[in-house]
Amino acid sequence: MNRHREYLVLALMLTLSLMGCSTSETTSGEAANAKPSTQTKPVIAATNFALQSMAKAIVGDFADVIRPQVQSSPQRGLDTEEVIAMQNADVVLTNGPGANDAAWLDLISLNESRVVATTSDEFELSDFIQVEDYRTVHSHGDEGEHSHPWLVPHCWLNPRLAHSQSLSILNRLIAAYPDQKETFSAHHKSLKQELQSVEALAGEVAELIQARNLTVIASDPRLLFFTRSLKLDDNYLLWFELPEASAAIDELEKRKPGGQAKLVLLCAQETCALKSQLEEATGAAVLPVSLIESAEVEPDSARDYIAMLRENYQRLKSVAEGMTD
Amino acid sequence: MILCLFLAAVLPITVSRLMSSFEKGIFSRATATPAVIGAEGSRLDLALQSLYFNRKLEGTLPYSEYKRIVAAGDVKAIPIHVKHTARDYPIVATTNEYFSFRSLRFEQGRPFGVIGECVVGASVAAALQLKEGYGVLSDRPDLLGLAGDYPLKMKVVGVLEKQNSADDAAVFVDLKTQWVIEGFGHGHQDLESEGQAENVKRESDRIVALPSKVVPYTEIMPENLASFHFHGALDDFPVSAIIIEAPDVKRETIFEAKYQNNDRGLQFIRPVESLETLMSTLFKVKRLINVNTWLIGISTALLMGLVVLLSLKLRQNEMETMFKIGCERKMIATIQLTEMGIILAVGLGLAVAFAVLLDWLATRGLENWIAGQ
Repeated sequence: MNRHREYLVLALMLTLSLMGCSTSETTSGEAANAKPSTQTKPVIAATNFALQSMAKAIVGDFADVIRPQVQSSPQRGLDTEEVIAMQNADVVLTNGPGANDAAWLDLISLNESRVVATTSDEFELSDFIQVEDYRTVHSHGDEGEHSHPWLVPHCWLNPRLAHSQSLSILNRLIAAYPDQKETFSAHHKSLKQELQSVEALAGEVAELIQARNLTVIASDPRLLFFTRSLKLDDNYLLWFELPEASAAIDELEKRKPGGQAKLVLLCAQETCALKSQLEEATGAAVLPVSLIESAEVEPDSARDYIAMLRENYQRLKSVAEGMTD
Repeated sequence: MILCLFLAAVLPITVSRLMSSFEKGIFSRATATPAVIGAEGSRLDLALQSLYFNRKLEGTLPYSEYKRIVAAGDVKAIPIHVKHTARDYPIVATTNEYFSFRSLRFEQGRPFGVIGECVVGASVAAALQLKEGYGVLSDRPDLLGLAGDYPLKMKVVGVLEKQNSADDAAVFVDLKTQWVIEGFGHGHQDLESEGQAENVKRESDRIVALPSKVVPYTEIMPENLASFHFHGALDDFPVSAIIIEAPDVKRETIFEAKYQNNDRGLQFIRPVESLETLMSTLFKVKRLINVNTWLIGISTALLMGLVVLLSLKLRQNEMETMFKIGCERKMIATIQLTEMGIILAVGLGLAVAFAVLLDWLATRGLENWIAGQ
C-alpha cells in the first residue's frame, strides 16, 4: 500500500514538473513571438523638414524619422521629450556649421558621434551663402562689441544642393545600417531622379527669365539659395519682417530696372501680405516663394518636400511666361 | 599570549589586505579607462583627473580635438572637463556616453538633456539631500572677484546608483553647461516682459533692474533657455581630457602613434601605466613593511618558544601527576599541542578578523579617499 502511495506521489510530481516545463515553454514561446512586435524601429532625427523628408524617402519603412517641432515653432521652445527622443536617435541629421539651421542644438546634450553635418562632405565652399550686409551684432564678453555676417541656412531651396545633402544622408545611413545598403541605395535612386527633374525645371525657368529679360529681387536673403539655383546674381532686400507699405514701395521703385526690363519680386511668407499694393504701385510681379521650413503634415516620403520645391519653380515659370514684352 | 600573537600578526595581515584592496580598487578603474589624451604636462595629474576628478590641470585641449577624433571614427571618445565645484563636489562636464562607458545606472531620473541640467552621484545626493527636481548651485571660484560670474543653479534630473567609486561624489553636467559656468555662454532676461514688471524700475529712457530683485545666481529655465547662446566657436572651448576606448590593441596603437611627438601640445597616456609609477613608490613602503613583518614574526616565534618552554618547565609536576594517574605521554603531548593550537588559532583569527573589518571599512571609502587627495 505504502509502495503504491510512493508511486502515486512520484507520478504526481513528474506530471507537475512536466506541466511546469510545458508552461515555461509556452511562456518562452510567447515571449519569442512577442519580441518582434515589441521591437521598435530604429529612430533617425532630422533638424529640418527637407532633411526629414529626404531621410524618410531613403529609409522607407525601415526607420522612424523624427523632427523636433521647435524648428517650425521656436516660440514653443524645447520640449524635454523631443530632446530625449533626439538623444536616443541613432543618427541626427543637421545642416552643418556653414548653413546652421538649428542654433538650438547648442543647448542640448547630444552625442557628437551621432550628429551628421550634411553640408560638410559634399558642399563646395562657394555653395555656402554669407550675407555681409545682414550681420549679427554682439556686445558682451571680453571681446566687446563685434559682429559677424549671417550664413543662410536654407540650402534645401536649391535642388542641386539638396541632392548633395541626400548623398551625405545616404552614406551615413549605410554606415549606420550596412545591411540595408541595397534598399537605401534603391530608394535614393528614385529620390535623385526626382531632385534632378526639379533641377531640370530650374534650368528651364532660368532660361525663361533670361529670355524675358526679367529682373528678379528676393525680399530677403533667405531666398538666395533659390535665386542662385536660377543662376541669378544676388539681388535682395532685407525684408525679414513685413515692412510699411509706403517704405516698401519706395524701396522697390529704387530697385526698378531701367529700360524694358521687368521686375519680379520673390517674397518669403509674411511679405506677401503687401502683394496687391506693391503690384499696383510698382507694376512689379510679386510672387510668393515657400521657404519649405515646415509642413502641416508629417511627410510620408520626399514627395511633399519635392512637390513644394517644384511648386516654387512652377509658380515662377507661370509668371515669367505671362510677362511678355 | 593571545594578545601577543594578535599584536604581532595584525599589522602585516592588515597592511597586506589593505594594499591589495587599494591596488585592486585603483587599478580596476584605471584598467577600465584604457587611454586618455590631454594637454602636455604631468601624466599622473592627467590620469588622476580623468579617473578621480581631483586634479586641476593647467592645460586644456580644444573641443575641436574631440570632434576630430569622433569624425575619424576609429575609436570611441568621451570628453571630460573638470574645473568648478558645486558645494565642494567636482562638477564633471562630459557627454551622456560617460554613463554607459562606466556602466552607471540611474536610481532616479534620466541623463541630462538640455543645458542647466545635472546628474548627481549617490554620495552627493545623500550628503546634500538632493532628489530629482531639486537644484544645486555651482561654487564661485573666486569669492573676491568683483566681476566674478554668478553661480549657476543646476536642476537635478537624475541620481546615480551607488557605485563605490569617484562617480558617487561628482555632479555630472553637459560640457555646454560647464561652459556657461565658465562664462563662455549666457542668456538674457527680457526686462520689458510683463513678468518682470515687479523686478524693474522704468525710467524715462531706460529700464533698470532693481538690485533687491536681482537673483544672485543664474538659472536656466524653459522660459529663458532660448536666450542662451555662446560667444565664440564651440570648437575652441576647453576640455580637460578625452577618454579613449579603442576596439582593439592595433587601433589603439595606431591612435597612440598620432599623438607621439605631435606639435599640438597634446599627450597620450595609459592611466594604468601612470598609476603603476605612483604605486611603485607605495610598493617600496610595502616591501619595508614585509621585512619588518618577518623580523617581528621571527622575534614573536622565538618569544613564543621561550614562553612555551618555560610553561612546560613550570607545569612539569602537573604532567608527572597526570602520567602517574594513568595518562599516556602521547595524550599529555596532545593536550599541550591542543592548548598551543587554540592560542595560535584565536590570536591569528582575531588578527585576520580585525584586518577583514578594517579592509571592509577602508574599501567603502577608498575611492572617495583617493578622490579627496
